[in-house]
Amino acid sequence: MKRGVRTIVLSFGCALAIAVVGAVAFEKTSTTGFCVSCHEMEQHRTELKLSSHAVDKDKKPIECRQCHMPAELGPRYVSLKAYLGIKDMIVHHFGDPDNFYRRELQLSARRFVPDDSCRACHEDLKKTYKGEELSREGKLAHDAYLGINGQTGKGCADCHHNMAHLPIFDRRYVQNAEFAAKMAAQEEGM
Amino acid sequence: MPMFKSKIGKWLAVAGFAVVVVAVGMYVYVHAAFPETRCEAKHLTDESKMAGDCYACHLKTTPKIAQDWYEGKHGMLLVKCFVCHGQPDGKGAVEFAVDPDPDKVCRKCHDPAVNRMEEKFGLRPQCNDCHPYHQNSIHHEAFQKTESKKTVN
Repeated sequence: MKRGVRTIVLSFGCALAIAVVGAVAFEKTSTTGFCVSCHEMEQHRTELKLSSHAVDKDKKPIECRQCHMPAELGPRYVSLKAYLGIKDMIVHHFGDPDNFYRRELQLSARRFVPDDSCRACHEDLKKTYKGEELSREGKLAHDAYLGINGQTGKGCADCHHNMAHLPIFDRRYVQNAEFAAKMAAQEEGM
Repeated sequence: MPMFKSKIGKWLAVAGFAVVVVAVGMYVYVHAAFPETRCEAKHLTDESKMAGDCYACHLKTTPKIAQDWYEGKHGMLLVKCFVCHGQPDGKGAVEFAVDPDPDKVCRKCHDPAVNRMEEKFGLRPQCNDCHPYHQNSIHHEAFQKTESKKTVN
């Protein structure tokens, strides 16, 4: 009897300890500070700070996880965090983190930027972020995305490129001119 | 195996098994929830669903091009007109152009392949000379090989 009680208490203790440690670790490893604590992420943070996605509408800095993770906590979030976390660790320790092939990274980044993170802030797809009406073509594209009129089979990041990061080979695009100028100015100052 | 006979060994085996199951489960789940390629396009049979973009009108004005695209790889994967040609309002990630610059457009997705080709054979300025954009067929004219598929003797 005594042994049985001891086993139950021990297993509950272990479960509680794992839960608490897990929760704390989960929180700590979800911050932007943790992401950029690896040197290869410095470049990405520099780009983010100069991009249109540096701060949200309340001037609060936007964190990595707000775009690269689903908006809501759930099995989707936890699985993706585990998957990407393990991948990042493998690349950091066994890969070549100083020479990212960013063309390839872009494709995988687009795959792992869930639409619900974008739409957590960008609620009304008929208006620009300033609250102005979208152009006719813009509305048609968003209607197709929503499946109202046509269909695209695409996510937000499949059309909206270079929202927060700008590798050197994407600076030549007209619509990235402002971002590219800021990047160039930053590099000159360095 | 003596390890599984002791009580701790049994618990360790159960715990290890649980970890493996959860890990495999998560891996499979991530691949299901964030698919590498989205496959709605393969099942797109209702052309009225394409009414919202260039395709519906261009099926009438430039039927050959529209149909080539529809039956080609780009059409099947729903790489739509605006992905390469941009939008008439000039917004979106690509400039509006009838004849897009391959260096800007093709490389967005095909950079690894372009680099491999460049290493082996060098590049011609227009990808289109060998790879007709709209006729990279899966079904379209399936028995007629394009220039790029002909073997060089």
